[in-house]
Amino acid sequence: MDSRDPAEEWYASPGGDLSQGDIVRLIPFGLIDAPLTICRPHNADPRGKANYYPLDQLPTKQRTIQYLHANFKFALGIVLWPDCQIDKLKNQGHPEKKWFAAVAPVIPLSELAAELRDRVRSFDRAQWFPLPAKLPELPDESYVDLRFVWTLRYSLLSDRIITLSEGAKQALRLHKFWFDTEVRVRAQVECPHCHKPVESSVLFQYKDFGEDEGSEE
Amino acid sequence: MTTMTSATTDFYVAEAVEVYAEEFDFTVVHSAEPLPCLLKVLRSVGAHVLTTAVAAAFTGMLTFSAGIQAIAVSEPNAVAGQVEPSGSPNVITMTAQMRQQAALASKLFTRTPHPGADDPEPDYGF
Repeated sequence: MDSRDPAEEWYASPGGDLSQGDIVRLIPFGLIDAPLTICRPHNADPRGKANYYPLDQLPTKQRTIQYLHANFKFALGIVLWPDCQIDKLKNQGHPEKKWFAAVAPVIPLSELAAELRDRVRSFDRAQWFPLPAKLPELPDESYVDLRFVWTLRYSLLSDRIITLSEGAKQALRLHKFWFDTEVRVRAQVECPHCHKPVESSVLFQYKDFGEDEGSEE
Repeated sequence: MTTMTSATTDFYVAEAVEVYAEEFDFTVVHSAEPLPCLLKVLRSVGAHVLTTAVAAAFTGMLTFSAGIQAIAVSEPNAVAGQVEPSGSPNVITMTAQMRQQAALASKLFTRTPHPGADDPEPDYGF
């Protein structure tokens, strides 16, 4: 009998570079509120005075960098971009301060109404992807809120605590596909010749993520 | 035979009406020749759809009607082949490609209902 913690199968240690599925500490997540409010600091120093303008009253003359205000909270976050996209800016020689990647917040499941939690655990909510707890890195059972995706500088994603296993990453990708498209792969399709059902699993080339899933080729 | 109708109106629908995937069956699906090996075709379709249909759907170009859930694969429409533009891709070749992707997606994917419309929203304070 397998005595391993099932949650072990979900996670792995982070690799050397930022990667899809990495869970990082202290990322801001939120939304840009309306009306848009533009902030123009008086100088490049992030401290000090600034002018704030509603977008429709923004002076055309711009002397400094400008920022857009957003409502935010801090949370754990998970990196969503595939690795090749993350590495692109690096591989093209752009300075590290210019690198960025898309993240979504990781929220304790207790934030959701009690009646929703089992549904999330059952992968039954497209917008919320479940994450089991794993001590000590992720003490709270959590979920990824796929509705709050935005891009952050690479340097804000440096405190990586754990990453998803290959199997969990694959599950997250398909879950996000469901959220983004509202469609799921049919379990079966009908053969146009013999009209017998064909399992859709034969359509895709899976890596062997688990003991029960064999590689097709 | 593939019937290509006007191309320039197929990308967009006025007043945010959904693009119905089954409308494309008439122009793409029934033009295909049967294939001798279903699995080979389906794998090709699967790889093709996963890359292109995902991209199309992510960009918000396509949505699928709720009435297509029971559609079976009547023809392996992937063998309609890649669009071969005679010159630079234009809206005609783009639209032909878009029709192919929509038809393929309608066979492989099923529209899900909208669970959670009544779910209590977590309070993030925004």
